[in-house]
Amino acid sequence: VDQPFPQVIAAAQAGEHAAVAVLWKWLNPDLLLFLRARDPASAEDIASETWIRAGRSIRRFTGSEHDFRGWFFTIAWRALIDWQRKESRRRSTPADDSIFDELTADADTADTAIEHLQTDAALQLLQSLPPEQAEVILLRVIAGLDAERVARVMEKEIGNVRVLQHRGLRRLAVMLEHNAEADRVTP
Amino acid sequence: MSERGDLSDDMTRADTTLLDDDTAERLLRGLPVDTAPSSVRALGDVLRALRDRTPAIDPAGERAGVAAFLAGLAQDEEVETAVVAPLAAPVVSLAARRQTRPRHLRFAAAAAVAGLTLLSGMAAVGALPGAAQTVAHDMLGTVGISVPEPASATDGHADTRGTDAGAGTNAPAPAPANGPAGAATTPVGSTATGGSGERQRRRNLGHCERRQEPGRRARAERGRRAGRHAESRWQPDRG
Repeated sequence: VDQPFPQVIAAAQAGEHAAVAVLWKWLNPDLLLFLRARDPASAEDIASETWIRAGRSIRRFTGSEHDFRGWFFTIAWRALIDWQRKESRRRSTPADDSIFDELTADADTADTAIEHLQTDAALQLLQSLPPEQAEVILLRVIAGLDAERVARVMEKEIGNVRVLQHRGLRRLAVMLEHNAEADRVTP
Repeated sequence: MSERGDLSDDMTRADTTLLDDDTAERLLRGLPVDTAPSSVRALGDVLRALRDRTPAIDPAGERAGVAAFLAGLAQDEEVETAVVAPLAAPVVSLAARRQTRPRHLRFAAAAAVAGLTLLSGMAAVGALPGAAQTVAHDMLGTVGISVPEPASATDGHADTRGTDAGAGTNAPAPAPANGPAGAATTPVGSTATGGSGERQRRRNLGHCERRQEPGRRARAERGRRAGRHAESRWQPDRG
């Protein structure tokens, strides 16, 4: 945020359009990317819900710029969970482990990520992780939160968050190595 | 071997790579990991691609997002107004009212309820003193609750408890009076207890009369008055 953060927050709390636009430009790209990694089909809807909820409780926020990021992504996280619960009730189809197998077996996705380093491909690579590992890495990398704030967002112990992020990174590294070997075998 | 089995083997292999805590933290912070194995460096590139992307700003999306935020802010205002409004017209929950009620009032109310329950129970078994039992019998009878009368509760014997007669019974017997003063306090031809017993008998009779049908009593009274009136009218004629 280019302007002094306390002034921006005070103006947003007073409902000033320009201040809210500053917050939106600052946070919405990261929010959308985070949500697209978790629920590509509903990312826009969940983002909209997140902004509504943020507006509803902005008056009670106090803290720094970093605190605000953590606060905002906590709201996004809860909106995502609520959305997924609602969707799971609607679909009532149990999750299947084979989905994970199919995703990890999708060598094209990882290849694209390695070769082009495009955002969409990177997101798809992250989507192949177990949900909690993906969420920890997304909150750390995209939302820019430290491990302690991620623990607060996800309501977990910090040690648990560190284990999840380590496992997720290791799994991604293995997948990339696996795909690189596959590339070497099939020229 | 399945894909997952291959992955597990690879993960075991990855344990031997240089993905320690420090390297993991550098990856997540977007710092270079030049000394790490190639797969970890590739992972660093992927994560950096996510972190360093150029965000696409969509003006329509911005308008929608800002509108959503302001809508939420307006909802919060409505809630706050709803919270402040009860100062004018309080709508307080039962629990809140219980909280605000002074403690001594609550004790008094509890004591009153307990006392009433005790009295009702005693009245139901006819254990109240005579006068109180009579009052309880009359009052509860009006609301359809049947409690015994003093006489029935005492198995046909006059219940003198709580009455003047009872007080006379329990009081020490008056000393025999010789002289006008004694004659004035003790009616001739009756003892203290005997007098009280008579009063009680009359009272019970009066009570029974009061319990007569009002219309019947009124008719009888009218008849007596009419008779006296007729008598008084007849007397001058006789004269």
